[in-house]
Amino acid sequence: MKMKKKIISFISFGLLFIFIYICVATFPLKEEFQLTPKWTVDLFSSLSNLQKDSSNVFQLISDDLLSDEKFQKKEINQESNLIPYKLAQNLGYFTPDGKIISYQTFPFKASVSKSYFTIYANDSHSHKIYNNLGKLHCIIDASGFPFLQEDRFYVFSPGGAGISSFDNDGKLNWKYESYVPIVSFQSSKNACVVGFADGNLLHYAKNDKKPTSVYFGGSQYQIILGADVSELGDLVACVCGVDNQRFIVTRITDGQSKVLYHEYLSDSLTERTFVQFAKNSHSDDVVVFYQHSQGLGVFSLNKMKTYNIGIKGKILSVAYTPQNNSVFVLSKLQKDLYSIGLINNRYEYIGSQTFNANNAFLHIQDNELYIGKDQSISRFDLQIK
Amino acid sequence: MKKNILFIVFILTFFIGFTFDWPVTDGFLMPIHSYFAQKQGDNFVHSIIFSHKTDVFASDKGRILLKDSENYSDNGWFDSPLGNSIVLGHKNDLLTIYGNLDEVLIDDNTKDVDITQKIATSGYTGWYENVASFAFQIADIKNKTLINPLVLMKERQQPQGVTIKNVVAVNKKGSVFDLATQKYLSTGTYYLYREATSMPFKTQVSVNGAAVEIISYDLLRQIEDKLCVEGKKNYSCQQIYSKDNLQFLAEVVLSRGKNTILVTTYDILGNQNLSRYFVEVK
Repeated sequence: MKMKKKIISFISFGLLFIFIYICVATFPLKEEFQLTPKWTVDLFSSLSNLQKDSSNVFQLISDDLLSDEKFQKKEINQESNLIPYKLAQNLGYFTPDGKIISYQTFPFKASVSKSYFTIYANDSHSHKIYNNLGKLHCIIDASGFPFLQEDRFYVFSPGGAGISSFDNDGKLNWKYESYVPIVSFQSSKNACVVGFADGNLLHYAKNDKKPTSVYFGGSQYQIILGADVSELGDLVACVCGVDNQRFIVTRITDGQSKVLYHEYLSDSLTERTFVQFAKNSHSDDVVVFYQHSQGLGVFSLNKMKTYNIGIKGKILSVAYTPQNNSVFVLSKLQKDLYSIGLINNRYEYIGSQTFNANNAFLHIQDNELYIGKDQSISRFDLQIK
Repeated sequence: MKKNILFIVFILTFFIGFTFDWPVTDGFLMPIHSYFAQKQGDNFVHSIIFSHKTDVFASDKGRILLKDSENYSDNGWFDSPLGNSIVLGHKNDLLTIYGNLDEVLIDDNTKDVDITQKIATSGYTGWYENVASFAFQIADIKNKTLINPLVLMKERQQPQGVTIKNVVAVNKKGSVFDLATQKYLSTGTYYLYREATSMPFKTQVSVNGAAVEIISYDLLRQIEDKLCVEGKKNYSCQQIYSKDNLQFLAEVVLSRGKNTILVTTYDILGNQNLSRYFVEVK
């Protein structure tokens, strides 16, 4: 049974690769775009190669790392190439060459970032934050649901309307309590944004204790369904409002907000909505990806224009690579059906491929594309020749 | 006193105009696990939280603003602390919020729901997983307040009874005096607390016949970055529940001589419970 599952998994990744390859190969590109499968690993079969780390009974670490000096000291390496994964009730880290270095199950919930992870119970009053090698980094004393992004720590309050920010030592930076639930949240190196059900968008610049609060209006009902903030922290994009829903890009500096672009959307989504600034962009342009009722919107700040791409399903993740401005989009079509779409030159939709899975993730690092699917992870390399 | 009367008149005027149906069948009979403004972690409870799993109905006609029934944390999304949830927009800038749901029964093409339309089944998906179930909130956008849902229900729940137990006075140095046994105190300022075993709708403290504090648990108002209940001042959760298992009643100044401290708690129907304490202040 287990073997059969593995075979199905490998075949489906093979088909996925063939599809993406055919799409890329047949499209009249100026440069030849290649996608090369590197490896696929099965999480559960990797377990036979793992040992329990004596200092943490839950953490399982690769044999070959146990002899590594850095690992023995459990020194966190921020520049390390460890890549986090979270699939259903499992989390851990793997290396770009396909070694699962840690694997951990959790009964309730967990949050994992490139550098840290935490596992928490439904009614936790404090949270142990571990580094990516499994060493206890700090303890955050706060009730609620922790959420880690890179080296930034947040805790959402029970009741859904409050959020606290903590420094890298687990000390409170700020706390904000609203009377309505938080619907959207994102952070970057220099700021974070919180969107509420009453249309309030909060912007906390790094080191700020007091936020800038913005209400955009322009809709019958105000609600911030999705929001993101740029790496520099000054630009905020959001999808907001129901009945006359809008996509808005605004600049927030010194407590002042100036709307740079807005667009009414054809219909209103009523769910948490994907909004993301393109990361790792080498161009001068600022690009934002966002979901609307017709699919994916791609906004260019230089052109002050949006391009609409008919991606179906709930958009969960967008992986952008500067190589040829290629964009991979992971969307969920049904409970156990996902799709990966490929967009070239940011705006040219090439096609998509569906696959069955209960859980899936998409991750890009440099020009390496990682796709997680239930119990397996695969890597594809992108090249232009 | 005049301020309090005006406030009560305002609240009554406001509430009489808006009532909601119970979001659960026979809600007035349904056991409640947590009451509005009780302590939950480091925060006030924003809702009433029912004990048992149940079908969930729209408490009024409304526009669907949010239905959140999926977990996307595998791709870096945050887990909603409300669990699966629905937010409905209603007339007069009111929102109803349904959290800790199991299955959301609204399809993607539905924009509006009718009063008493079944919209979900409740579950154990939020903070009280496996302990309590459906959480129901009412928010007033215009006034940036959460309203105690029990105030706006068409049929009132039978109150559980609000007992007054273990009332203590804490001086500025942090020394604690049990008012039931302590007969002598020094002059000065004291903070009075009661054991937070049951949730009152209102508490009142009088010293020598003069009301010194009335704290109302019908609203939670957002004051800057905190939610507060209203009394003589606005009190945050940290102030009301600053001590374990105790609920703040009042700050009182006791002057030399015999002092009579009267603590009164009210339930949602206005039934009151009194406790009187006599202290000699030297």
